[in-house]
Formats: sequence, C-alpha cells, structure tokens
Amino acid sequence: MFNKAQIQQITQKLREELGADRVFTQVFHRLVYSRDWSPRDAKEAYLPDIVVRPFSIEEASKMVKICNEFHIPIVPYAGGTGMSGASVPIYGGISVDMKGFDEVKEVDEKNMTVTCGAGITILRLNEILAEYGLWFPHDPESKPASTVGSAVACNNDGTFAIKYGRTPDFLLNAVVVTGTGQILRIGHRKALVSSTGLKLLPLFIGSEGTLGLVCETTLRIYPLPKTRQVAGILFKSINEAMKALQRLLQAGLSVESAHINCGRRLNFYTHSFRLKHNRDPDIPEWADAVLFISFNGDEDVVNFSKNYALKVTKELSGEQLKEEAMVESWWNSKHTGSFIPFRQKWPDSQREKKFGAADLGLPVGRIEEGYKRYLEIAEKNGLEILGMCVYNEKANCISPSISFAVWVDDKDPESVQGWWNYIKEMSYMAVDLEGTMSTYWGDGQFRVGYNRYEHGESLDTMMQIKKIFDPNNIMNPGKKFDLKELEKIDFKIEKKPE
Amino acid sequence: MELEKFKDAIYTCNRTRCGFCREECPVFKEKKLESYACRGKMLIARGMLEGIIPESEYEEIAKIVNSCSICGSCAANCALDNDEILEALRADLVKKGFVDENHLIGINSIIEKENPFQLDREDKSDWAEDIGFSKQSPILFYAGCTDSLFYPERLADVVKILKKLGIEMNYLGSDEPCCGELMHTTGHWVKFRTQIEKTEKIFRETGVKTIVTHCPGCLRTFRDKYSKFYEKFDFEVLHVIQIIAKKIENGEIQFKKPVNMKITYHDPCHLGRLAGIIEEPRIILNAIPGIELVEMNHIGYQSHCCGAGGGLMAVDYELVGNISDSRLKEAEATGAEYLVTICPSCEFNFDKVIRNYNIKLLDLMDIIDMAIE
Repeated sequence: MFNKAQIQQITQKLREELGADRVFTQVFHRLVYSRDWSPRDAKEAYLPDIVVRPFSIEEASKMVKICNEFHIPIVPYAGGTGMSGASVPIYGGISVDMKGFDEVKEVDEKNMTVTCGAGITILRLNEILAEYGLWFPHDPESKPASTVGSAVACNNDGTFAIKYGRTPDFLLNAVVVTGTGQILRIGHRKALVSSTGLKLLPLFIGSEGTLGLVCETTLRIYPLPKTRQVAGILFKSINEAMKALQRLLQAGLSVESAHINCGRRLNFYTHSFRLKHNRDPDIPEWADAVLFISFNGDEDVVNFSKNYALKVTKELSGEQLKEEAMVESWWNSKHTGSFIPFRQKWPDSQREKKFGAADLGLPVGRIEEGYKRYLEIAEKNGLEILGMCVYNEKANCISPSISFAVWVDDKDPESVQGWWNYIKEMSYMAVDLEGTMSTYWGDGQFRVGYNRYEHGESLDTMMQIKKIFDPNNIMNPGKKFDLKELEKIDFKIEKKPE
Repeated sequence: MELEKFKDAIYTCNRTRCGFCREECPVFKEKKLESYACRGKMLIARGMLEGIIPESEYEEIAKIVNSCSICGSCAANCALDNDEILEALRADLVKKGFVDENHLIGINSIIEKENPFQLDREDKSDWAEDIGFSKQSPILFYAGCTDSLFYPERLADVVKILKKLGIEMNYLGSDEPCCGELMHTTGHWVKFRTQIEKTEKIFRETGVKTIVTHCPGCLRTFRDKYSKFYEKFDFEVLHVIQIIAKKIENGEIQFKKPVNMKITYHDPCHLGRLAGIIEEPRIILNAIPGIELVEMNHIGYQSHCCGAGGGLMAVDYELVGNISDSRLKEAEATGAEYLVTICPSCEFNFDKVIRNYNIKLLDLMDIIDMAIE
C-alpha cells in the first residue's frame, strides 16, 4: 500500500505525462471502480488510489512505465461485469478505465475481420457490424456492458459458442501493453491459423489483466444469418437432455445454441414471462430438464433443422415446450435483451439477494453426479439453490460449461462466507470429477490459493511466464496468482547493452 | 436526505452492477468515465449516504450529477427509478448549497418572469391575440414557456387544429405560470413546491378539469411530478397528440390531403420513454397519406436523447452539441428528407445545428396542419 505522499508523486508524474484530464484521485471517482458483478459483502469496497483513463496505446504504455518505476498495481476495468472480482483493486493502486479504446478502426468485408479498440462493448460492435450485414457471434448475456477486451481477458461464455466457438476462435491479432510498458503486436494478423513462432495470443486469453493491457483486437466476423428459430424441449433428466443434444450433433445438425436448464434455473430465466403473465410457466412435473436450442441460416435449412431436431428428440422421449411465450422469455434473457422497459431482469431479480454461480467444466458423463454434489454443497453452506444451466462452449461438440447458481445474501456476512466456501468446494469437486474449476469467469480474486489444486506444479510455470511479461508484479496483483508466491520467484530482465 | 427514500434501490444497483445503463447513456458515451454513468452515480450516491465521500468533493460531484440530461435511458434499461434517484441526488446537493449558478439564473427567472429564459412574461401570450378561447371550457390549453417564446406561430396552429377538431379550450394568457420543470429537474425542490401551489391555485380558479399541452416537458411535470409533491393536484393532463391519435382511432378524423414526404420521427425523451406516448405519433403519421416513415435504429423506449433536458444546456453547451450531433447523424443516415419531432426543446436544440446535416426539421403538428382539411 502506498502513502499519501507517494500517491501524490505518482499522480503528478502521470498528469505530466498523460494530461490532467486522464488522471483522477477524488474519492468519488475511485469509489465507482471499487466493485464488479461478483457477490461480496454489501459494505465491501476496494478503492483504487488513482483512476487513469488512457485514450491511446501510447498513453497506456507511458502509464505502465510510470507504474513500474513506483511498483504500483494496475487493475484494468472495462465493463465491470466480471463475477470473479478480477477488476476489483484489492491492493489499491491504479484502476485503468479501458472504455477509451472504443474505436472501430477497420471493418474488412473482404477478409471478414474487424479491428477495434478493446474497450468497445460487444453490443455496440455488433450494432456497427450490422450496418455492413456482418456479425461478431460472441454473445455473452452481459454484452450491453462487457467489452471485447474483457472477452479476451476473461475468456467468457457466449450463447452461440456451440456453433462459432468463443474468443480463442475469434481472436486473430491483438495489440497489448505488457506489464513493462512494452507495446506488443501478438497473433497472426488476419490469417485464421498460423504455425510460426510460439503462440502468445492464447496466453492473453483468460489472463485477467495479469500480463498486460489488451488495447486493440482483430476479430473474425461472419455474415448476419438471415433467419433463426428457437425451441425448447422437456426431458426427464439432465442426462437425457445431454444425450439428445449429442444425437442432434451426430445427426449432422448445425446447432447455433444449446442450453440445458434444470427446472429451478428455468424460473430465473423466465423473469419476463412471469412479469407479463403474472404466473409461473406451465411445466409438467415429470420434467426436470429443458433443452433450449436455436438454429440460424437460410429459412429452408432452419425450418428443416428445427423440425428434424424435434423429431429426433421426440424419439428420445423429449416433449416440445408448447408455451411459446416461455421460449421467447428465455431467448430474451439470453440473447435479444428485449425485456419489458423499466423491468430489466438483472436489477429486478436482485432486490433482496445476489445471483452467484460456480462456472465449472465437467466431462459430459459426470454432469448428473456434479448436479447432485452441487445440491449438497449449496445446502451445506446455507445457500438457496437457484439452479443449474449447462452451456456448450466449443464449436460443434458437446462441451459443457456449467453454471451452478445460488442466491447470496450480501447483507449477511455468514451468507457471503458461505458463498466463498461454496465456490471453493465446488472448484475442488470439479477437479475431482476430472473437470476444471472455471469455464467463463476465471480465477479472479476468489480462486487464488486453491487453483493449485487443479494446476499443481504447472502453476509455478504459469507464474514464471507471468514474470516475463510483468517482472514487478504490478499487473492485477492478487488475481489468478498469490502475490506472496509470485514475489518468491526471482526474475530479472537483462537490459540490452547500450 | 432525499436519497434515503431510494436507499434500497441504490443498494440493489450496487448489488447487481450489471451496467446495462451505461452504453446508451448519452453522457457516458461522450465522457467515457464510469462516474458519469448511472451505475457509477449510484455508488457515488451510496458514498454520500454512508459518509464515505468528503464534503470537499461535493462541488465536483454536483458538476458530474448536473452533466446529465435526465433522459431516462438508464431507467428504461433497468428496473430501478434511476431518473428519480438522479434528481433526488441533485436535490440533496442543492440542499447542501451546491447550486449551479446557471441553473439559478433560470430558476430566478421563473420566479420573477414565469419563464426560465429571462424574457418578458407579457411576451408569452403574444401568439394568442387573434385566437378566440372559451372561458367556459373545462379544458385548459397550457402553452408552455419554450413554445410561447420561441415557436409562437406553432402554438397558434396547434390551437387552430384542435378547434377544427371541435375542441374549444380556455387559455390563461399572460397569467400562465411556468410549470417549474427546471426547478424540479435541477433539484430546487423547495422552490418547485411553491411553484406547484401557485400553479394549482391558478388552474383551480379557472374551473378547468383537463390540461392540454404541446410541450412534453410541461406534460410530464404536471402529470407525473406535481402529484408526487402535492396530492391536491388532480387535473387530467394530456398531450395534444393523445387527443388527435384517439380521434383517428375512433374514426373521427380521416386525413385526405396527401403530404408526400419521407420522414423519420424522433421520440422526445419526456414524451416517449418517460411518458410512454410512443404509439400515438406513429398512429398519426401512418394515418396521413403520402407520409413515408423511416424509423431510426433507436426509437421508443430506446430512443436517443437530443441533449436538451435536465438543465444540461445551462451547464455544458458543448456536451449538448455532441449529443445532438450524434442523434442527427442517426436521423440523416435514414435517408429521410425531414426529421419530425414534437418537443420545443428538442426542436430548439436541433435547430442550432441542423444546417450541418442533409435533413430538415419539422414538428409533427406542422405535418398535421398540412394534412388537415
């Protein structure tokens, strides 16, 4: 932590180099960067010491170089919609607002790429691309706020990932400012694949700001699909729904999205239905899982795909969800965002308690087991169960990324502690079931310390890699890696001879 | 503190942190700093409630809180009454003495001259000299300051159109008080309450039951704000186009004269998103032969602000200019010949810069005037 005189000195230097309108130290400016979307104590607020808002890669580089002089932490802040505390400045330092990087530099229709600042929101990027009849199909529910940069830094989930994949499949090139202030272009320009050199892009995907700042990206884009159809199919169990999905892929269908909700989770995703109809959706008692799917493309192909999917799933004891309004409600929630004005789901459903979810990746054969363990672990930690949703996040294959959600009472310290315990136990459970702790929100603040349970000695190698990019441990300290462990690793950059 | 009343909502925002309010906020788009977005201001509000923020910073906070057109975009993309919370935040800052000098000029002008523009009160009724009003009518035509002083001819047309439709109205002439919207939106709530009591008494003495206006700001102030401060204010308040749209739906009006124009329609924030009058202008436009309506990407509840509201014009003229430029670019991109709106504040704001764009400006009443026999 830095004393007042040091902060004044750093502020002065930053203002000299970047300009006074880029650097803020008022409490109120700092307060607004103190929280993200993660469940935490209502009273908890980590204020950065300084807020910096760079508008160019050069400004970002200058800022990082100054921070290196003083060894002051840098915490990137973009949409602020992370669920892991990654953008929360737990050691103080500098919050860097990345919204200044929101320019679309090039829409290359011929090569089907877009080059844009990493601070642009996914919603805005798609509004601009739509003018060209194009589309960036990475589609997290948080898209009105979350940015392209955070899709890279957190490797978050997308509704259409089962058809298009996610950040590793879209990101072709990036300009980053490393923890030393070096400006690096990484990736393979507009080429989709490359075999030369070592691959640095994947290191930055999911790095959560621990290696540097992602300032500019070149992304693969697609033509806007002409039509889309959505359907919901009820099953007796999650396993049956998973098997049906597997069968659809085996049949050769190109599924655009495939989400499997347990009965309880469905209630959360039908918020707009309940507002509109003033009742719960009508679901038969026998049904314990709903498979929501969508298809996009030309009308004939989409119609055929939907009808074929309904036929195949019926043979597998699936029953089409007849209440169209409920399917629409789910689709609004996951994709269109066309909620009833003034009744948007997120704040409306969070008036008493906070949504919190473990984001585990489990092998398909162990989902049912994971579901049972989830119910036990949530109950043990005194958390109300909100339900499970299985997303599929790799193109054209069963690739479960599972949200195991609970309600957290952020006014009750015991409930918050229960949440922390819950995430830890769920993370261990995922590894025990031959899976992974996180599939869309990363390690952040919460999994530091126990992510070694998954990575073992590999975590030491990861820390050594981090040191190459960030020798002074200033990039988002306390996230992903334990700062004390990092400080034990000796790493010096050899200076080039004069 | 006024903010105390919204404590639960402020904590709900802090708990949620979805940030869906940010992207469409016209001010955040320009400033690109979290403190200017509603989500940021909700944390500032909490900081003030909990005493985390030192009072030495309140002056700067007031500047940021006043850098807002109270367009309601943040509220429409939320489930919390964000526009009301922001106005309460302003009220608390005013109570503590953090008053914007430019706002104060307008407010003092309302007190002295019954308009926020420091113009003579008597001039407000010049437009009505040759128009006959009915002192016995239960309907009061409320002209509003902006229309009366900047678009007087429009007002005459509005009244003439309503007369053609068989609606006779009363009018207060130079006795018409200002609605006091500026007082409310800038947080000068003690003065606003005085203005309400005065206005209510004047209205009551005329014996009217219904107030009809062409100004969305006045409409919303009377309809939605007055009763919150003063329960006795129980007049029915209608916008002109609500009456006309209803008559179209009832088959009482049929436009026969074609108006051959390709137009796009700008929903004023106070009329559309905040008052919910979104279908009515479109019912009218679709009923006029020859009109080709090309919608912008952002309409209705998601319409983009022109920048004129919330007292923003008085505090940051450049910011207002950037916001209106952004909206005009969107209007121009539709390829329409005319940008049609129905708000004197939007019109006043667009009027200044529309010459830079390949589109012309009209009020919806102008089009009705062309179409009506």
